[in-house]
Amino acid sequence: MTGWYVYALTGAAAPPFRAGHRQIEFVRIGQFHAAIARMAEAPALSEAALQDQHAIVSAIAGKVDALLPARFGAFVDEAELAAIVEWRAGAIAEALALVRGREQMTVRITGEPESAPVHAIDSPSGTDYLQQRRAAASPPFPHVVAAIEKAVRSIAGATRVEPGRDRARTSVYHLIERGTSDVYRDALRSMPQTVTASLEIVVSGPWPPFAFAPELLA
Amino acid sequence: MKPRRTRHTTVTTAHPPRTVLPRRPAHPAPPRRGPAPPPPKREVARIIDQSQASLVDVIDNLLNRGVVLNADLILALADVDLVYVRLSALLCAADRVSPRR
Repeated sequence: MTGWYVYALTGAAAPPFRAGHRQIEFVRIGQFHAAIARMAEAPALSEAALQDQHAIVSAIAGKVDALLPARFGAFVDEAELAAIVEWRAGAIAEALALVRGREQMTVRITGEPESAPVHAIDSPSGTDYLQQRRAAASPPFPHVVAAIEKAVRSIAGATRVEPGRDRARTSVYHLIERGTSDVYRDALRSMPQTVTASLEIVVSGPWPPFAFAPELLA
Repeated sequence: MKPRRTRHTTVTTAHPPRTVLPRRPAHPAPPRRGPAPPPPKREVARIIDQSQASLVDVIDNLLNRGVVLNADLILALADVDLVYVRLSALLCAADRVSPRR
């Protein structure tokens, strides 16, 4: 039985095209479209499959001005996809409006956290517990993140900050207008070096807006 | 399981290409006269630019981000399935508990 492997939800359709060994087509799902390939089964998870999908989603991003990339493994049938899209149409429309004409830049910060790690307290009081939770949820590099935000404030349309599990890294995602990644990089270069000392800051992109896709299951 | 290479896999993952961005001076240096000064100390740049997707980017983008529509995720290592997540079961449950419009 052939199913749909969904690469992205899009705001509009584009002519079908070939990407590698996949034929990508755009099918209408309610008020949206989905960029799909017809397959007998989902590709097995492998590094090559991930690289393939990343390249295909990037190619789709070049065809439409608004897309929400799907997570790896989105193998569905038409009825299933239609039900999901109808169920969360509001969230999808809102996210497509946010990413329209934009692309994602990723900044990964790695190094020694600015604040000391919070150690778990045996039998904590309610206050201790809440302070632990607050410390664990806060980004480990608040000053660096703030400096990055200040540097790209005039460029970034939206921001997401994701602390790493080990508090030695944080990822910052920005949405920028398409074609302005050089301006974005220049803005990061303008950050004071004292902010970046002893840390490694890796900038990558532009990518399709993976980090700004809605949590449809939330 | 040996990863399959395809023509359009363009990224090497062992050592992703990195370009160190040079810092730009805030103002252009004025013209100097006389003997050339000693070369400035090399500044260690802390901002590294990756123009191509590293494996970290690919994994983060496709496994941690993106719209979850329906996924059977089989994380395999050396032909041994470590994790199997059937997300469609969660979808069905969420669909039943969410209010119908």
